Amino acid sequence: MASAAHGYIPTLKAILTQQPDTSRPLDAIIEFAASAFRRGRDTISVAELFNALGARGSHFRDEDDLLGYRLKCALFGLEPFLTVINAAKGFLPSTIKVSAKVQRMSTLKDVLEAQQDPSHETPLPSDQHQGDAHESLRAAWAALDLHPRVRSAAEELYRNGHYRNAILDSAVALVNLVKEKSRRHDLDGAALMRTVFSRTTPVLAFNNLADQSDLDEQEGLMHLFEGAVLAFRNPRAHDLAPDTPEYALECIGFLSMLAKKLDAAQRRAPPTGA
Amino acid sequence: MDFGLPTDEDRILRLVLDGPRNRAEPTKKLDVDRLVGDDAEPLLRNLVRDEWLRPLMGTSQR
Repeated sequence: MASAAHGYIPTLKAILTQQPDTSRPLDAIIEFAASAFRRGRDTISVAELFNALGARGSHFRDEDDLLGYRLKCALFGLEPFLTVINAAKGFLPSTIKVSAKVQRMSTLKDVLEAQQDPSHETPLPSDQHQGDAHESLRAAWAALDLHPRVRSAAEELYRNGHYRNAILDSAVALVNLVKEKSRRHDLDGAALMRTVFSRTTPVLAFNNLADQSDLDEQEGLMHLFEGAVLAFRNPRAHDLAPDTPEYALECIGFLSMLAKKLDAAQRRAPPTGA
Repeated sequence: MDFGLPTDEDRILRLVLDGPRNRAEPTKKLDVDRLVGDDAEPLLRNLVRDEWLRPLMGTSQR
């Protein structure tokens, strides 16, 4: 019912009729989505799509300008190959689900032709292959013996496809574990890691610090903890760029390994006179 | 560009394509009513039926 609508947007048909060259950025979007799917992604953010357009030298400049608006509206017209699964900010798309059938498409024309062809409902042989790839990732995730706090922080996010958030929350969980075990709630980030895992006067030690090799291991692990904050937590707290499921799997596995090393670390007596 | 639409429907479609008040955002029915000076629902229904416009319903599309 028209009276129940929150608003109206132009359809793909209207956009292409008024401005036929809108097909060029849509070609790039479809090519990007197909490539993403072949790399194991079945959801992509609209912000990511638009970043890719900018990187490809498209005349597209800003997702909030008129062309960006029309492209967002046009995305609704690419179903069932690209499907809006989340709409925010004025009901415009924010996340897109990519059908396996997109992987053999590279232009808007391919999509429009397939929409006219009822046979597109027939599963492709490669659907099974791609489904297998996603199933493999899910199986790999389930099989990982993650640290329970990392698993708890990331489980739901990873399973729901929020890979960036899964990495971020895993890194935050690791930082919190370090604070709890070291009792240094006054510190955070890289300063926390450098203090708690100091090569010579650590709060938590990974070994007896008895010789050069022990000291080197202590310092190396200190750098890994510091790196986890600098490379994994901080960028995701400041930037919305998405992560792939494969990368998230590897990052979270790494963070889990650090959490297990932390579990095995021993508190050291404070230096004499402290 | 000629959409081959009656005058009022053509004006509505152009408004929605360019965004209300030159802002790139969905067009509310109120803006369309103001444009045509009347209740635009029958015209909007025609434009939706003929796949020129898409109504945005609810808080999420899925």
